Amino acid sequence: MAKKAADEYLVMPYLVSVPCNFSAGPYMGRLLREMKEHKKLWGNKCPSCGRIMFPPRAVCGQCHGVEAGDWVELSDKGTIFAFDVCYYPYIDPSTGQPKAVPWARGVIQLDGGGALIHFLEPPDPDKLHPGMKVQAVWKEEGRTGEMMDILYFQPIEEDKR
Amino acid sequence: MARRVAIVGIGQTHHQAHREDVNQVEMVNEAVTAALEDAQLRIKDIDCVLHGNMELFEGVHQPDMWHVDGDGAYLKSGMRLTTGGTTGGTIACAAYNHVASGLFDTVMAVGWEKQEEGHTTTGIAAMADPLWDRRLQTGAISGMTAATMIRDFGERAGEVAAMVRIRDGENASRNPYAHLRNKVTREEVMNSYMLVHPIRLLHMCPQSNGACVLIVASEEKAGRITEKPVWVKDHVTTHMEAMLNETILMRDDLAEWASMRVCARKLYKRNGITNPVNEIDLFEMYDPMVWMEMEWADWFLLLERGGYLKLVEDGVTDRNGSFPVNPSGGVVTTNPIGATALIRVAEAALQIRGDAGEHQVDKEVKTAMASAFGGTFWTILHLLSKERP
Amino acid sequence: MGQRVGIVAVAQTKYEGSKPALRLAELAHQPVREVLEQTGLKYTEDGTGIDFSICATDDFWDAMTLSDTPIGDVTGAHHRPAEKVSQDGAQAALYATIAILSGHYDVALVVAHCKESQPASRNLITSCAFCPVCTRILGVDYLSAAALQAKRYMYKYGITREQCAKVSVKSYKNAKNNPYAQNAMALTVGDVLSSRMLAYPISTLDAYPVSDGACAMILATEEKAKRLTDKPVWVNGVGNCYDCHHLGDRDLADSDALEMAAKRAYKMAEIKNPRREIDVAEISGQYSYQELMWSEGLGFCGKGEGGKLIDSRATEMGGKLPINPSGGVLPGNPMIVAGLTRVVECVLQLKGEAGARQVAKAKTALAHGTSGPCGQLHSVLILGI
Repeated sequence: MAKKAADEYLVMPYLVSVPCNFSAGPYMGRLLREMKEHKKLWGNKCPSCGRIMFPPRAVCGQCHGVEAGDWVELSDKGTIFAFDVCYYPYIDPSTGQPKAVPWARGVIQLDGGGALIHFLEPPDPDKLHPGMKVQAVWKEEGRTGEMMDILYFQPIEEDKR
Repeated sequence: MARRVAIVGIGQTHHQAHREDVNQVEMVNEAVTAALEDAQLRIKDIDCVLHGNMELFEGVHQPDMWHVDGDGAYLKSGMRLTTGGTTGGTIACAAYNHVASGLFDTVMAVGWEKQEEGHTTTGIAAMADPLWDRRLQTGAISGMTAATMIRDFGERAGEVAAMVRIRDGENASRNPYAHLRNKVTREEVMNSYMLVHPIRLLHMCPQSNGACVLIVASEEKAGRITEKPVWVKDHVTTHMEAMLNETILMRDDLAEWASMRVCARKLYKRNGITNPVNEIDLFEMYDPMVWMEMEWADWFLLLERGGYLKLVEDGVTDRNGSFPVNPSGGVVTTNPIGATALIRVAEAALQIRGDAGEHQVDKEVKTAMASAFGGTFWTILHLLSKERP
Repeated sequence: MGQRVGIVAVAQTKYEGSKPALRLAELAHQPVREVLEQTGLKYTEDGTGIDFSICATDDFWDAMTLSDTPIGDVTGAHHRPAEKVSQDGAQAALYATIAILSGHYDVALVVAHCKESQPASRNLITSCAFCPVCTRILGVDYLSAAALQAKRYMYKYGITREQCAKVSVKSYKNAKNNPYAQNAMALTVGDVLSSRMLAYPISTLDAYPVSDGACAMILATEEKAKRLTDKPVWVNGVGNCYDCHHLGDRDLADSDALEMAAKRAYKMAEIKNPRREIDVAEISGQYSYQELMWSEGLGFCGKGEGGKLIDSRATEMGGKLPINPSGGVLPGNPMIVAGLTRVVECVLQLKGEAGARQVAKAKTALAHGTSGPCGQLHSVLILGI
């Protein structure tokens, strides 16, 4: 009975698609350029609290808008702090397409300072663990100045649990 | 020139996975009608309508415009405030502010979401920076809090996670408005589908269609409208910087630094509360998954890490316990996001009024707290009381 | 009423067709930084600084869910109260006033920003404001809806395209005196009428161009306002009001909602005769006919007399009631920001800091903003010194 009622209701499929041009601004812009041209990661420092901010930005939010200070080159190697593995193929808002599953991502503490989130390979909870040393795998050709110029991070060596 | 403000009307839809039988406007109207009926008011008695949801879920820009047909805002004052998951809390704050200002006497707050009209995780993923971590989102289903709980408490964490879900299911089975009303067993929780390791389906909130409406009034008006006004004693909003969300877990001082504790400390200080578990009767908490309740409750309640696990294990947070948490069934059983934070306030108010029917807690409720969560770990807390402040 | 709310500092960016060098938060940071410098205020918890931050921001325009996230970094939101009004910026100023009158906060920072240049076409955004079931599918957006309204208004009251064009001429001329204005030109009515037609009767010079920009202000309780500046501008009256949504549900030629919003604001400010008591008005008209229609709704002239009003030249600089000495929205002001810019401009007028666009001896000003299609929601603030 309920199904019959549901069949009577009109549901209209509709795609909202808005092409945009996002400005990178001077901070993100420099990071992405350095990634594209030199395979390097850069953050910047807050002159007030001293922390390294990644991605780099105009102000330190924790210090309520103190303008960012020095640039800091960051390592592309680090340690997994935590990770998760996604099995749920939702639609990526950047592409409109369902994401291929499984995929894994981790919070990675970079050697020497700074932290970021990025994809991890392999996307298998039995093959990844917190404390594992990982290394960025860069796109060797066709880098365009975007997050995906790093394909993913992967374990540096066999790391037995 | 602050005036006392009370909740005088509460309305909700029956939150469900499928509401193809109504469009957004009609769905909102159900909750508006219910709230007006609850308050025994007519739409002409409302001075102002506040509206909130998350635009990118349904793909309607400024839906408050379309919704005037359903929420009665035609020729009325009003505005739209949207702060993601905390939206329901923000419009409750705004409703209080509007009445306390003296410019409005009776204000209606409308929070809603029709999750089936969009893609929830897609909408949430869009909260991230398009130039960095938007491709790296799992939406609200972040596994890392759970991962750190398991790291610190081992198998016990998974057992308590199941207990929380069982409790929520038991409560929701008694709440006619809840979305997922079935009781669940430990085995069902432990074996449910893995969404994002280690989050299983039954650890996580559903995507619900629903609306919630709160009517608040000045002290003078409240006295004429209802014999059971629920006083809004205080509200505190604590925002956070923009960040890669999960990196917050790296902080050594996380418990003190996260907005939950900062907000709670501020609320308690302003209201002379030193022992929240003893001095507050009930907590409707916004936790999108059981794991977050397990961690954040320590922060809210000023407990040491793991303290809340014991409260759950001892049955303290059950409906008939001494500090009931989410007697409504909570967010894990019902989550129409734009409404969810408002539902927390509404459900806390229902408990104070003694009108929660089968999901009414056993103890008398004089003071209740409701939390809102959203964004990069933002928090709003409301403190409600039976006695006039 | 008890104590008043005062505006103690304002700032705005130059409005431009595109600001490709700045991210959204970086854009919002510019006027925020200025008002902080003007007042020396910091973000504190002890009542000596800013208590509360409000941003006027929209998820569609920013292409981000929770678009207030990055803005919070530049508005001191970390660990503090911050909220988002996702409508025209005048609503944010209104809400700040209400929040301060409530006693919950004493000092509020308000910022509005928008980059209309970010989406490929702003019509993609505004078309999403219409009901997806019946209206959007026709390809309606704010421009085509405005054209419907313009046509109805002109038909009902005999307003001419020439009269609408005079608004453009006046606006672009006034903009020459405004260093923040996006465009300024000496136009003739003929120039406007012969500009490329967009949606009849709205031609290119009848419509505001794509615009990027931001503005900010700080509001405070009366007591604190007097300490923070020697020229506080008081918010004497506020009012807002929604109309119905479907374009066929109302006579588009009349603006009941604006009349109601204005009435509420006038009542609170104790204004009985706006034509005489308002010295200067900044009103938001994205399309030239709107200044005429909104003038009627605000009571600056009778119903249907908007054309006569512009013909009388009373609303030009030097006239009895100058409207939009800044040039208004027409030369370029983005959605979300436009109404707050009107408040900024009124404050500058009342403080005597409007430079070449100053209206002499202005003591009472009216700022107006609008949200939604065809002026569905209007916000009015009456400011005074």
